[in-house]
Amino acid sequence: MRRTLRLIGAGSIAAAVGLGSLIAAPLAQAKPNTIVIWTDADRAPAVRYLFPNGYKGLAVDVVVKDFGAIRDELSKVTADSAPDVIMGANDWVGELAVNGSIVKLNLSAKVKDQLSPGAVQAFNYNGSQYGVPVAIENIAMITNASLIKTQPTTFADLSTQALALQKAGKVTIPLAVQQGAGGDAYHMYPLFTGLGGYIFGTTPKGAYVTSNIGIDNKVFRANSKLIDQWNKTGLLNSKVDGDIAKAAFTSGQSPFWITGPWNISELAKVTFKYRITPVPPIVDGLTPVPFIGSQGVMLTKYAAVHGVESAARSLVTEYMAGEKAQFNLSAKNDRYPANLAAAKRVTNPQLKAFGAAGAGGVPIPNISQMNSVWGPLGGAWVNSTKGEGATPAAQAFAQAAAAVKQAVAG
Amino acid sequence: MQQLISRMGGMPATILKICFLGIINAVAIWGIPAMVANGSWIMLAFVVASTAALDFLLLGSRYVPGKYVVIGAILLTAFQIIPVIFNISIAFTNYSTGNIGTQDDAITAIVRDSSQQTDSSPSYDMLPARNDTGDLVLILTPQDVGQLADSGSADAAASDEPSAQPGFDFGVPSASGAPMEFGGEDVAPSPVASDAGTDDMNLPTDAETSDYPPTYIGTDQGIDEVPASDVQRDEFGTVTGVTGLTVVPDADLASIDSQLAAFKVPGPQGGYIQPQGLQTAIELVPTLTYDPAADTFTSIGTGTVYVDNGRGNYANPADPQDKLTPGWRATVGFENFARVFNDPQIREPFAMVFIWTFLYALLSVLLTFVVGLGLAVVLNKERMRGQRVYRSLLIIPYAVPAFLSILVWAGLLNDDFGALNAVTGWDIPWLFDPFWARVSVLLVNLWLGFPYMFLVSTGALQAIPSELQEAARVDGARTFQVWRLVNMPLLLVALTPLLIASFAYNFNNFGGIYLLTGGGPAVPGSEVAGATDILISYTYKIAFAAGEGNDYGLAAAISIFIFFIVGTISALSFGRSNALREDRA
Amino acid sequence: MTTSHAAADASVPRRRPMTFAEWLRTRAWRHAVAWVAVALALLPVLWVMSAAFTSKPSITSGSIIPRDATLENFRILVSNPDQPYLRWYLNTMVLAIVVAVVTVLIAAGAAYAFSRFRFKGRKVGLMFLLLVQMFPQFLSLVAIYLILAQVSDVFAGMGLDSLFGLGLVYLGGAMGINAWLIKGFFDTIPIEIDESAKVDGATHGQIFWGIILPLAAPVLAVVGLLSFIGTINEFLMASVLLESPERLTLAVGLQQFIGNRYSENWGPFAAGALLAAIPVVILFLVLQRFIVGGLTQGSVKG
Repeated sequence: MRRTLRLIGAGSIAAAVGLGSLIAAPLAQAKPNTIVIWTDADRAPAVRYLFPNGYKGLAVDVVVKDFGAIRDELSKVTADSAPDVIMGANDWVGELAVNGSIVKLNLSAKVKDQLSPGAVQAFNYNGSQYGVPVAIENIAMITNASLIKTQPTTFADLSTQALALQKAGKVTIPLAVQQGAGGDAYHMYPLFTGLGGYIFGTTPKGAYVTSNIGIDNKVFRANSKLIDQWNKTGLLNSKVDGDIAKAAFTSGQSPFWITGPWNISELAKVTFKYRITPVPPIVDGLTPVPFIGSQGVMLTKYAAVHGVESAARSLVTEYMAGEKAQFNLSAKNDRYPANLAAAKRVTNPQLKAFGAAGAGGVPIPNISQMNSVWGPLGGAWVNSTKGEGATPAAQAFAQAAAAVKQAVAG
Repeated sequence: MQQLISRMGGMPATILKICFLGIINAVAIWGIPAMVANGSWIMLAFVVASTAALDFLLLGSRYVPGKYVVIGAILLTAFQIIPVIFNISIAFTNYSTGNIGTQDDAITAIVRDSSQQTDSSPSYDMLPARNDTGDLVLILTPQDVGQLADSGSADAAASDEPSAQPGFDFGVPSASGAPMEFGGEDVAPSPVASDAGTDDMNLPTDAETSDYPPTYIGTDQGIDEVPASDVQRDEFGTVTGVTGLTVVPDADLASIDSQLAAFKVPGPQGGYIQPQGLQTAIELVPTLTYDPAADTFTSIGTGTVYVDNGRGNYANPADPQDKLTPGWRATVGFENFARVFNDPQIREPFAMVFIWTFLYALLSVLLTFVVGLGLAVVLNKERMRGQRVYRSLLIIPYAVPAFLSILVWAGLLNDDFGALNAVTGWDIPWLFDPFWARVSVLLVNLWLGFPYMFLVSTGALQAIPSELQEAARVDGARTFQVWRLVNMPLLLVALTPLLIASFAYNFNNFGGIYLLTGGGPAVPGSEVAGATDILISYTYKIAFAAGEGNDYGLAAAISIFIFFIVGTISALSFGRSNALREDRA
Repeated sequence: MTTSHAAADASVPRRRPMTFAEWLRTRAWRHAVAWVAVALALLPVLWVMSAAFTSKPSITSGSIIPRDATLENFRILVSNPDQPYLRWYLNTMVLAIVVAVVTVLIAAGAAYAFSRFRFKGRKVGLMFLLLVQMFPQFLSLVAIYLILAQVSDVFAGMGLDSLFGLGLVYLGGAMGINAWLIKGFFDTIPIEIDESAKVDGATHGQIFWGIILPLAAPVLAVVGLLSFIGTINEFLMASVLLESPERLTLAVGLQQFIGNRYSENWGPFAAGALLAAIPVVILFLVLQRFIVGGLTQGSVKG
């Protein structure tokens, strides 16, 4: 009996070996002939719209990720689940390139000429191109025209009008700029530059000089008293985060809102008139400018592993760079296209106004040292504008500068 | 009973067992070639050994206890013991962003990326085609090359403070005149996407045929010009084919994708014309040469020699910071451990996180215990009505999966205008302010954890023999004294192991922190660690979610520190637990 | 310590009825405390329930009873293909049940071996199990991640980004304290039962499956239930090891779903949280008595 059982066992094992191989073999390949694109929920519908029938005989699979997760997960993904193309921000390029997660692109002059030069440059890291810009975006100031009859031309004027409204009980938040717990150096950047601050200096050729940190430069320090004043009067408050700022402005509880084109659809719902302008000058001789963020498509190293490198590269450099793709993307997603011809065709007046408010803006540095800046710089704003018990701005920003210096040197 | 026994076992069980073994063996054998190909020798050894052990123990009849332990032991080894050992070995490497792969991967990547586009690199419109022998060739037509676009930065003035970072030309029209007003009654029409517009990759040229640029056929031997008469064009003048060649149709491009990506045509500039997609090829010129014998890279332009610096990078010996990227994973000894103590950027946040981890775990235990015990005492009164109902309701926070409760709390505390403040009228920056964020994580943990303490305290209270209390009362002790002298000591004896276990649990309560605050808010001077980060969430961020990239080596080193701390705590806890004592008996 | 305290209520001797004044003095404040505690424990729960049935609730709305109850949030929740909630639900339940069942079997098997057999290395094995348990598995996360990455290269679909791989990892921690817990119970089952069965010709397998396991059902239920809940709750490893939206567990999926968009997704999130919590809470309340017993024995709910 026992003997027979053993024989049966051996037989079954042999049979199962065969069966197992048959079942397991197809598992080994992850979706052949498919280009996988990772993008965030905001852009996914627009990207899907571009590829209703795939691309060049390949299927296109759009996978939705949290925006930040696209970058974070790319470094820990397996080849099976990895994307071939990601759509992300220009300031990711440094880290992803160092990691080897994204690969170098070579753009022909013909392609480059079609694109906004600044945006192309924004995806250049250490002299190599790592992405094709598809959209540029920047924040602007939205003014509630029914609360503010005459558009302020100086920040002092803005402050007076806003605080008067608050005193009169008409609004709860005089100036809605989002910060929140972790701070938001991006949204504070116009105010930062308006006071004379900058992050890294550049060489004449545009390379960043990380030893030249301008967070605590003399001009800014001299002007930082204004921040203390804003904090004291309650013009700025770090407790205001994205949700609060949006809710306050759209419900008429704030006359000014500093935000970007991603809220155009929110603005479409408001019942009052509004204007989209740059932040007015704070100090004579300094223009408050926003960061210009650029979104683009990048090719991952996994495209080669999946055997779709040529097609994915073509999608990135040949198709997404083009006017048709970028115009449609822009129309579906309220962003200013990086393709110049597509940009000319933008009809959405709000989007145009946002674009105009970005004049003079600077690209977000794409060097990995930037990661050491967001936290401390945002933190300095939070600490100096948290109402009672706030750190004097001069001190808060000096601390931030020291922290950045230390981090960058390390 | 007899019937039950005969029903179990027998043929069905044996068949089940054999099927199970069959599948395991099949999968294992099927994986062997791949493991050999990948060089995963440790894994191969483990898989073979465990499969053999399974077969031997489950089919044989010699070693009976082994049958009952073997599956658990294999899983324990694979996912508990080997990871610990592996983790220790990672702690001694520089495994981090930029040093991920093997040295061979790094060489391949450096060689690949060293091919650069130069300012005069010609670009070609490309059509993949096959010749009469079926070999892949490229039909190349030089693109109408203007000057390479200026990057727009050249006009930026030299930077002196504070002229910082120049604004770029983003090609955005600037505003003029008074700002427009939007919204209100005249809602701007939303734009409708249209498919108008050209693809722009092959702009039509209306030039004469004779003005067309020459067309070439590129093979791995070089390029050959095609007689103009053999070139086929569409009505816009775009090259569509060459006589004698079959252009690869779109539908077949997928099948030649990898071949195309690796295709190199020696170009006129000394580099290689390489496909950059499906329609474009660019001549790239190498900037580095690799010498496999010496294992060095030499820069063609400057002559700099990059050598293996022994720490996972090719670097210029004259300037150690001048490294080629990417690097590879290399052993760096105790460096990661040393960084925790020596590198101020890691040491200071680490110290902060370390202290807070202890405080968090300790306060969590104390708070939940005090509240839980208090409620247990209050409700543990004989003949009190509704005890059972109260108990059932009070354990609901404990019954709800913790991750859900925490996410909900994150919402309730979410912003200054969030539900809790809105209802109470308080104005507390729950999650913004480092102090309040710490209070928040403790309070939420209290809410989550007090029912557990309530339950175990109730259990322990009811287990105290009432004769003891009676006896104490008879001896004239007052309520308070009965508590201090009789109840408390007994309770503590019973509950101390649980309190220690709870401490150990909270010491690593990742969810309690990460889901609520993400470790935030940010603290000035600390880049990765936030105010509420505990060691495990800090480690997680270093390894998987830090903005600066991932430092697995450092994360592994820190996790070894945690190992020791938690190991010590657990040893204390288990040393006192009942389980151990029972077996000693 | 066992679960016997539940019987304590019944053994209280009868006394004369209490006067109202006496009740006020000795009992009223206890009820008051209890009411406050119950209110604090339940308010957030009620809040979520209310938000789940309110159309477009704002986080700030403080009303507990929704004015116009609606199932809108549930519809939104299940209709977003990028966030396949129902898939996450299924994933989580299947994973948690399978892991719970296998955990019980593995731990019970080990407990049986250690309780009923005397073999070389038994003491060492027991101590080893205890020792290993002191090093929580998730601390080796980086290593586990890399191991699974290697597994994926060989056995596609069984390593990273697969529920199978994640389940295996969870099972790596199945022995350890659970085996100890069950062994403690097995030790209380008289060995004579085994021996008489052996005399009747039962094999060790028949004794294990037919006698020991049924007798140990209460402790097995506790181990299984705690493992079930622990799996549902586990976030850290799942978030690192899983990737594709359709393979996430509820913990990871809902965390990503709510992300930083509390104001937009609050309603559907509340609906999702409610659906996810209900089965677990019911199980918990039904098996309350067993769980308390298990907890006092030293196991910790994940």
